[in-house]
Amino acid sequence: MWRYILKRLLWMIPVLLGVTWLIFTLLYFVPGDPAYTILGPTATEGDLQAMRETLGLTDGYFTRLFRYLGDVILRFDFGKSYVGGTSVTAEIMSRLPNTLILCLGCMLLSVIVGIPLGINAAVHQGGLWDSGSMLIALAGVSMPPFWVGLLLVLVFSLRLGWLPSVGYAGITYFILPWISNSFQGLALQARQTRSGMLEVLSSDYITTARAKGMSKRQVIFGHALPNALIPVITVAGTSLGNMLGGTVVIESLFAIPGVGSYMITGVNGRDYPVVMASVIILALLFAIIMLLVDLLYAAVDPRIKAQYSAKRRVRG
Amino acid sequence: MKRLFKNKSAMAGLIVLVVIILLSLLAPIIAPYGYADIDIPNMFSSPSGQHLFGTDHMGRDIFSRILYGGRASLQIGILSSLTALVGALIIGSVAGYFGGTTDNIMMRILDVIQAMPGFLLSVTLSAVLGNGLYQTIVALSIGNLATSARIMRGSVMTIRKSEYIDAATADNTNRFDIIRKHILPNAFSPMIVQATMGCARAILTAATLSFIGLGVQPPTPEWGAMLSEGRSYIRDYPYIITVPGIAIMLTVLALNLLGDGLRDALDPKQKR
Repeated sequence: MWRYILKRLLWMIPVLLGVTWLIFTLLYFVPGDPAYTILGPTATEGDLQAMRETLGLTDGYFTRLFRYLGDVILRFDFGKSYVGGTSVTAEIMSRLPNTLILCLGCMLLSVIVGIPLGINAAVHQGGLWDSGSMLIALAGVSMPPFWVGLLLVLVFSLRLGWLPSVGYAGITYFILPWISNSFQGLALQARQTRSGMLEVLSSDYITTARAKGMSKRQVIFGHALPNALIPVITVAGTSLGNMLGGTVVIESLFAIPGVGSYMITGVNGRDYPVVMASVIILALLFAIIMLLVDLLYAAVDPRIKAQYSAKRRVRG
Repeated sequence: MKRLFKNKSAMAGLIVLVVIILLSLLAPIIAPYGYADIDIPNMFSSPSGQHLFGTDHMGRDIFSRILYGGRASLQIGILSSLTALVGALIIGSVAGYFGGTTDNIMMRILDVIQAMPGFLLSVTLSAVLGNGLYQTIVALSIGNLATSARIMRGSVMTIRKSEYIDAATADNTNRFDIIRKHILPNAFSPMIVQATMGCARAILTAATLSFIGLGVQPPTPEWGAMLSEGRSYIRDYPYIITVPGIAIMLTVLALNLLGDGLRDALDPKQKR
């Protein structure tokens, strides 16, 4: 079991290095001169050249790559922003908590609401619960999260005045963002849980359990759900990835200062150190989430556990 | 195929999709106004006989902008998913059939691409390639391609072990002919489902990109960009954001229904 965890942890390292390399290389080829962006049109060619040297832009690809990797990995230094020269690392650290609150809240919401909805729909297949919740789920999967956000703001902030629409001064400020971002993932979760449960419920061992006289509750939670859990976790994992992307837009929409909105400011302002740092942090977050999902798999799927204990038995 | 036609929701999705495509294609003919016709005195007019969906903050007719916006969104969706499909077919079958080092290298590259959350990848690619319709199409195809190629490779590896492939190999058939005549046709069906769902995802991503200022640029109308522009005015003129959003939702919904139907029709495990 621990070997599985260790293996997965070690695997994260090359993946993160690969992502950092990819982002660095992609942004390396962006046209445009950062020196010009910083100094403006009044700068002379001499000034521009001096700035380029200060920024380290005159070195070759590999020099710059390894310098960046060295800075990031050894000193946690993501460089200075092209706009204002502030420390990118400091800014990201101050914004990270907001992003985490948003992200974790959305994940929890989509799982806590989505899975029971799906189970309910599967158990009452064909009934009102089923058609009703699946209709809403279908709509949810097709609605862009930022539109959901706009509609929620329209109804709950502007018309009803119940909830605030911009800022981050307390938990109420996160409610609308949480709902907007999780709606799509929630809908997907409900749909996939329902189809997973339906497939499991038609299996023979369920019929046997029922025939044995087990109560409906025991059958659902004792037999059906554990077996349906594996595809459910798979979907939870992928939709969490989408949710991370959605976080970026939702932060922008609701003016929550997080890593995502920092990234967008960076992209629009051609501020590449900011973009690189934000993407790397978000990719790190994604990798950690995926790791937790994989660990969850190992806990739930007895086949994976068996793989690792069998090896020990064979050796000993 | 017959199962698909019997599926009512999939057929509904297909019909809606065809209607949307037709409306977009015929936009230059049907649209009562040009999409950039500014008419400041008439700005923010409510839906009426003159302006079916009202006018926006520059007096432009929203109905015409929706029609033209459909062209942008559909172009992006269809072209990017088609490109991804073709790419995935090629990469997937080469990696799956030849296996070994070729497969390994390709999969490592795909691993790195897939290690980034999809939307982040699209944003970064958009930042690199620049804004505009065709750049967005390329940016969106790449993410789609990675997932589809992996699925294709899986199918190919399974099919490769079938007996009719052994027969063809024994027959001294050229390897590329084997891929072309035997493997591709059989691995194709899950790819079609992927392409349809990919199209839906691409349209959503394109709208999101335009919403944050990347992707398609004004004055070219695009549904996501319309939502972004209308954002400041929703307090008093809510229809500015309801209409484009409904357009996005309907198109994506239709594609999702169609994709669901295709998946159910092609799934050998269906007991119906």
